[in-house]
Amino acid sequence: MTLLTAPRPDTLRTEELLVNMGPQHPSTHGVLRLVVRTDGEIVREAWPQIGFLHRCFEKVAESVTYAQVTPYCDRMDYLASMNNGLAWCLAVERLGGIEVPERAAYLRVMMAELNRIASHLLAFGTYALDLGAFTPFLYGFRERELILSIFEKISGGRLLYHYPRLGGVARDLTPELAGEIRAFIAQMRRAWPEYNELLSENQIFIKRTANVGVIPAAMAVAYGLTGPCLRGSGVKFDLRRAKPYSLYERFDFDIPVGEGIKGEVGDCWDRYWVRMREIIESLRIIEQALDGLPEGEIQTKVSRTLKLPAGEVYVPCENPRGESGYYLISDGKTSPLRVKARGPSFNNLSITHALVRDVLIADVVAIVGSIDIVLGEVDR
Amino acid sequence: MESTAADIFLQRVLGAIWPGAQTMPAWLGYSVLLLLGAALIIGWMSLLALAWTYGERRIAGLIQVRLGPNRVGPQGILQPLADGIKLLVKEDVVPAVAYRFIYTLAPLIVFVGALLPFIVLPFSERLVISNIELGLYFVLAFEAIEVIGVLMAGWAPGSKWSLYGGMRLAAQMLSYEIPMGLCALVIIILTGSVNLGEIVAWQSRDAWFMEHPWIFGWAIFRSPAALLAFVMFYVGGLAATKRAPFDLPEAESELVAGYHTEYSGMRFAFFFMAEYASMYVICALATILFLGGWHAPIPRPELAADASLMEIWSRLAAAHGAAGTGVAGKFGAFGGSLIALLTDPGALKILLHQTFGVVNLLLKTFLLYFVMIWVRWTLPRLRIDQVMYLCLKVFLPFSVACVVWALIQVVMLG
Amino acid sequence: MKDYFRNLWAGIVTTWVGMRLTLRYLIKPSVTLRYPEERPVIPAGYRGIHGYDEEKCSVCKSCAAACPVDCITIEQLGRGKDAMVMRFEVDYSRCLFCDLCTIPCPTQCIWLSERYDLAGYTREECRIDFARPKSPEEIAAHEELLRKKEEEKKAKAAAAAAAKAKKEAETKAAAEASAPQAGDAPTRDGAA
Repeated sequence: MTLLTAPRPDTLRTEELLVNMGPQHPSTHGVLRLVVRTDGEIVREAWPQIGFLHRCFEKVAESVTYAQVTPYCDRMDYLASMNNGLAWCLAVERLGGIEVPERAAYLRVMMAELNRIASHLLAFGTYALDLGAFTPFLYGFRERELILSIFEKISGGRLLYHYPRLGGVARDLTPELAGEIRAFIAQMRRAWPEYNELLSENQIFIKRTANVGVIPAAMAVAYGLTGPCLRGSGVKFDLRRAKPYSLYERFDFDIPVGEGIKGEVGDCWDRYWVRMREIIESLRIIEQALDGLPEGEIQTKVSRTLKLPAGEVYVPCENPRGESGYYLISDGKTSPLRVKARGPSFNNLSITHALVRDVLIADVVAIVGSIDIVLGEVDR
Repeated sequence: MESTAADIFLQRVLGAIWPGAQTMPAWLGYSVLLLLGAALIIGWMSLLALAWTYGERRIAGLIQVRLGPNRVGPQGILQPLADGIKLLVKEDVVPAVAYRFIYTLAPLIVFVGALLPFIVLPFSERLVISNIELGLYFVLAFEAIEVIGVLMAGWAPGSKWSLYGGMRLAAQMLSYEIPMGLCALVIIILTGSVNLGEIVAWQSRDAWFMEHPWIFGWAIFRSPAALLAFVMFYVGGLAATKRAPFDLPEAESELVAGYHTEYSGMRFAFFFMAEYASMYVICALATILFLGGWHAPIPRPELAADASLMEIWSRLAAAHGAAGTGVAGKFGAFGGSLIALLTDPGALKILLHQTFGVVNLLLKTFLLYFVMIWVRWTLPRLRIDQVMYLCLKVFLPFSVACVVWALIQVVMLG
Repeated sequence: MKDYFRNLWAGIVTTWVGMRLTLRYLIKPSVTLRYPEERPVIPAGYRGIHGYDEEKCSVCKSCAAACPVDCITIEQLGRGKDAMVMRFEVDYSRCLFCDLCTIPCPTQCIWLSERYDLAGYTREECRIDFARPKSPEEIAAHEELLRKKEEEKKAKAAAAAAAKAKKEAETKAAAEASAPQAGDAPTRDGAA
């Protein structure tokens, strides 16, 4: 809070406006409604209102079989479909004691990391768009198009893949596709410095995002933030290291953490920079997965009418946006008794009310964009 | 009445062919010429706006590794036509809570404010609608009328988003007029004149110990103050015309569309055309003030000071005019005098001189225009407090420094 | 004061660097696909609209059971090997294109093809019936066939029942003939 935005003594009574941003708005990422109380150009308070994309996922899951829940999981965070399906399959496999072949685990890791890159590219592009730079969006999407066509070849879909299946993955990797993935890695490594030239190092972008929306580490942990939002505040916690799943312990990669390079630790620029560096780390993981891909089956046979033993399980996974998982309660039937889906954007969004205090309207957009929410996860 | 080119044309060219012209009342002749001038301005402005909507979108597309409009007409040249038709046939949606009169008036005022400076903007020494002494002052003053229009556009629709846009814009435009005015003052100090024609003439002679400096006579090469003033004038012009990175008032991702959210169809078209027109005015003004206007880089044939196209034409018209009788004969005489004019070597020299001047001016203006578009698609948007910081804490001190430098330079070097 | 000039210089330099990049891209060719003259290549295995081979279908309805959103409706005439598919309708306003229906099919008669551009204007257009339309003669012939088979079955059942009854009557007669005192000891299954 600077001198500019501090509340003024009541010598001049000005009217406070209650303004609605959304649910149809070019910069709220999906159908989010932000009710904003403004005093001139300064925002005093903002309340996010959600629920416009609620699709009753948890209720539906109670009436279909375990295998039939998988396509619904894709649609939760529709930009990271591989990661959502992975979380569900891991939960079911852990409760049911189903072994996944090594080749399938490597393929899952490879696709999850490719999806992470695609999601971060989209976050990068739309963040630039929110702040008024129209061009980085299209450059990011040029690379993302390469990923999407890889996904199209291996899973048959461009956005919703239904690729991780119970017991393994749906289809195998062909040598041509492996070549395509390597070509993409090379292209991404060429394009990454260009993104920095255009946006990350641009003084105007830095002025818009540095020291804006600072989340102290303690506050981040208290609000249950995960993913780049948490790591941007300096907390080095990544589920791929803390609770490895799907053979992540075999891969060598760093955990980028916000260091306050351009401003305070935990500002918007740090969160954005964590995402950019995670793209590079994901490229390393994919290369290792390609080089060390073992031969073997891609799916263990799982009965169509799978009955899980009664019990509870929760396997947290590192989605591009944070910790995602499914708390599964089974009572021995072919359908789950109860599924609770944890979408990271729901928890990440909860910090908006505390964070958007005495900032300018332009900063609201910068803050909400840096949290990088997807309404599919928030509303489920 | 002085003997301006218009008068010579009326009295001696037309008068030689059609005697009735010489007895035409003065006001009638003047009115016809005024209407002609207005039609020229509006036509030129519309052509500019149309052509550059296409240009901007095409350049934006190519920068963004995609194609711009490329379907309507060859390479998409007819796209602006399609846009125009679309805007014309769009439903006119007026918010129920709008203040109807002001709502209607706002785009008109903005349009007029963008249109008026064209009266004094010259294309060449003699190609100007009105060569008034205070040309520069006129342009700067009338650019400010747009501010009133935009404030009205922000308030009238009764929408909070428009209000934000209008308020931001008022602050931005008014503030940036100050550094822009100071940078123009630098040129006024260096040249000693406010007349645009004289400013360009000053840039065409006696610099760097040469009588005819080519491009080194440009103001930016004559003084470092002028160079800095050029940059600040140009960036200030970006802010005054609400172009990125100063396009907060129309910040699409924050305020939907800012002050022109609630305008649709032809009303929006007025704002749109006004924006492109004022971009042209700023670029043309920057060219005239700092980049030598219509002098260089293309060299122009030498001309005697008293060479006058109208004099030659009146001489030729007198020669041809006597022969024609009847309406067809008169037209024939007029046409004959025109053809004779185009083949006369003296007249040809004058025509080439003027044409190259216009080409020079348009070349430089359109280059600056291209840079405006290039900047827009590269940089993110500045926040309003950063815009004001830039104006008051960066541009103002530096432009004052430029003025002081220019004063010292003029005093010391004579 | 030093910060002021440093920020200013950084602003100028980074602006120039960014603009240099976009100028380079201005001259590079674009990546746009000029649809509809150039079409995207749809890879094999793309999950588009269904493909259905009626000849192979055994009308087991496993696909309809496997669907998470119940978008497949199957109507048949007859059962088992004599079944004729009357309607194999997929409701694309519900279909998730997840291809769970292709997995349990025993004859590989259903798959997801590469067709994707079947937009429609009404909800009815979203329901596509893949079964071949049958002429009334065909339906009548099939019903005739079914009825014949039903009759044959009934006749066979009747014949079998008659044969069984006759055999039992014979055994009973033989037992009566060889049994010493008839009528005292009741038989286990009551009246034979």
